[in-house]
Amino acid sequence: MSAMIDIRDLHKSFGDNEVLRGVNLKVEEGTTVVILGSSGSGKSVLLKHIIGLLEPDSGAVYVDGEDICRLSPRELSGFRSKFGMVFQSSALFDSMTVFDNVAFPLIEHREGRSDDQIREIVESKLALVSLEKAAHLYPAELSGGMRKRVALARAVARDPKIVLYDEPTTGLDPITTDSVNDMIEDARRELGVTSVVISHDIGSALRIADYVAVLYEGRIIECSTPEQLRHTTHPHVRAFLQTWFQRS
Amino acid sequence: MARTVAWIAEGKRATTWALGSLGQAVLDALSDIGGLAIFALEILVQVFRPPYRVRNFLVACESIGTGSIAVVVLTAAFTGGVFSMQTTIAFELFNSESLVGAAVALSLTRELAPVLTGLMVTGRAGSAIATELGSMRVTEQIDAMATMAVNPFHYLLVPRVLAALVTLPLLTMIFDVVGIAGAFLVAVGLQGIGTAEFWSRVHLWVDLADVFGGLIKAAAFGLVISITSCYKGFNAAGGAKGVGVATTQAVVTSSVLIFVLDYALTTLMLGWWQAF
Repeated sequence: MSAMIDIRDLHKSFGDNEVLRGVNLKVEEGTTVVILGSSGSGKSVLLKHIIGLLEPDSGAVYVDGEDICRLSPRELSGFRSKFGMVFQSSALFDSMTVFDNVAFPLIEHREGRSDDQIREIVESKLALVSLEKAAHLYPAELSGGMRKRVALARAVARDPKIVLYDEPTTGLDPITTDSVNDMIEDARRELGVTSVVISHDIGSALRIADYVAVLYEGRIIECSTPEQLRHTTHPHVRAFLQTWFQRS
Repeated sequence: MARTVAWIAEGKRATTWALGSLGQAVLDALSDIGGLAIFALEILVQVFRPPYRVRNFLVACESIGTGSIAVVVLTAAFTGGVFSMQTTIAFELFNSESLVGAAVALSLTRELAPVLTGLMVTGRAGSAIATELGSMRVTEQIDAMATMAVNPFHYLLVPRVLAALVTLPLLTMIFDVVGIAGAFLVAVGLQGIGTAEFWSRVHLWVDLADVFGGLIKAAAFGLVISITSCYKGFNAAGGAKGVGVATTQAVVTSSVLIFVLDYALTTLMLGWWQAF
C-alpha cells in the first residue's frame, strides 16, 4: 500500500505558541487513522494543514504524491476535490435544507451532471446515513447526531478519496457516539475512503482505527495499531490510556 | 530626593506606556487599512471570474435593496419635511421663501439623500452582512465552503458587494423623490408657499448633474459599506461575542467612512457642479 497522506517534519507556531514541533505521519490508502491528543494539543491545527486551510512554517504535506504546501491557491482549490471534511460543529449551511447542503458541492462542481443525477446522488448519500426522510429539514431542526450524519453525507457527496473528521463524537451521548462510529466504518467499508479522525475519545479510537497516532507536545509520539497501543510502554500514552480505562 | 527620583521614574513609565499604546493603536489602524485594501483587491479579482452568480446577486439585492426601501422612504419623507420647515423659517427673514424648494432639492440630491441612505443601509444591511458572515465564520461554515473547493470570496462576498453597488444609487433615487415630495407637502400644505413657486425654483436651480453627483456618491458608499461589513464579518473570531464586536465595528467604521468619503467626493465634485 502507498501512503495517501505523508506529513514530514511539520512545524507551526501562532505568535510565541509553538503548536506543531516536527510532526511526521504516514496514512496508507484505504485505512482509518485516528489522531489522539488532549485538548489544545494541536490536533485540529494538524488536520487543517492536511487540507490546506493553514500553511505550515516549515515541513511538507504530501497528499496522493503532491506537496499541497507548494500549490497555488487555485491549484489547491481544485486539489480539495480529493477531500471531504466533517467539522466538529458539522458546519452545515444553516440557510439551506439538508438536501441543499448535500447537493451544494455537486451543484458547485457539476462535472456534467444533470439535476436528476444530482438528486439521485443526494438521495443515495442520505440513504447511506439513514436520513432520507430528513431531506426537507433545516439544520436547526436536527439533533447533534443527525447533523454529523448530514455532514458526512455532504463530505462524501463527490466520492472523495480522503475523508477528514474533526472530533466527530465530541459532545454526543454514548448511543449517538456509537452510531457515528458505525457511520465512519460504513463510509470506509462501502466507499473505500482513507479516513483521518481527530479525537480525544479513546473508546472510539480503539474501535474504528487501523492505526492510532498520539499527538503530544507538538509531535506524534506513538503510531500503532489499537492492540499495540494497549501495551504501549510510552509513559504519557500509558497515563492517557489509564485515565480512560479507570473512567470506563 | 528619593521621592523626586520615584516621581521621575513613574513619569517615564507613564510616558513609555502612553507612547507604546499610541504606537500600537497606529499599527493596528495601519494593519486594518492594509488588510481592508488586500481584501477589496481580492474581491475585485473575483468579480471577473466565472461563474457569474446571478441568483446570489439577486438574493443580495433583495436583502440590501428591497429590504431597505421602507426605512429609506420614512427617513426621506421626514427629512424632507423638517428641512422644508426649517428653511422656510430661515428664508422668511430675507423674504426668499420661494427658494425653499430649490434649497431643499439641492441639499437632498447632492448630500442628504446619498449620506442618509448610506447610513440607513449601514444600520440595516451592513450590520446584517457582518453578522451573517461572522456567524458563518465562527461556526466553520466558511471553512467548510473552502474545503468543498468553493471560493468564499466568489460565492459570498462578490454578490453582496455588487448588490450594494447597484442598489444604493437606486435607493438614493427613491430618497430624492420622497424627500422632495415631503418637502413639497410641508412647504405648500403647512407653510403657505405656492405650488408653482416651489416647483419653478426646483426646476431652475436643480440640474441633472446634481442628481448624478449624488448617485455617484451613493455607489461609492455602497462599495464602502459592503466591503467594510464583509471584511469585519469575514474576519470575525471568538464566538458570539466576536460576531457582536465585528458587527459593531462594521457599523461604526462604515458610518465614519461615509462622512469622510462624502467630504472628499464633494470637494472633487464642486467644480463639476459649479460648471452647470
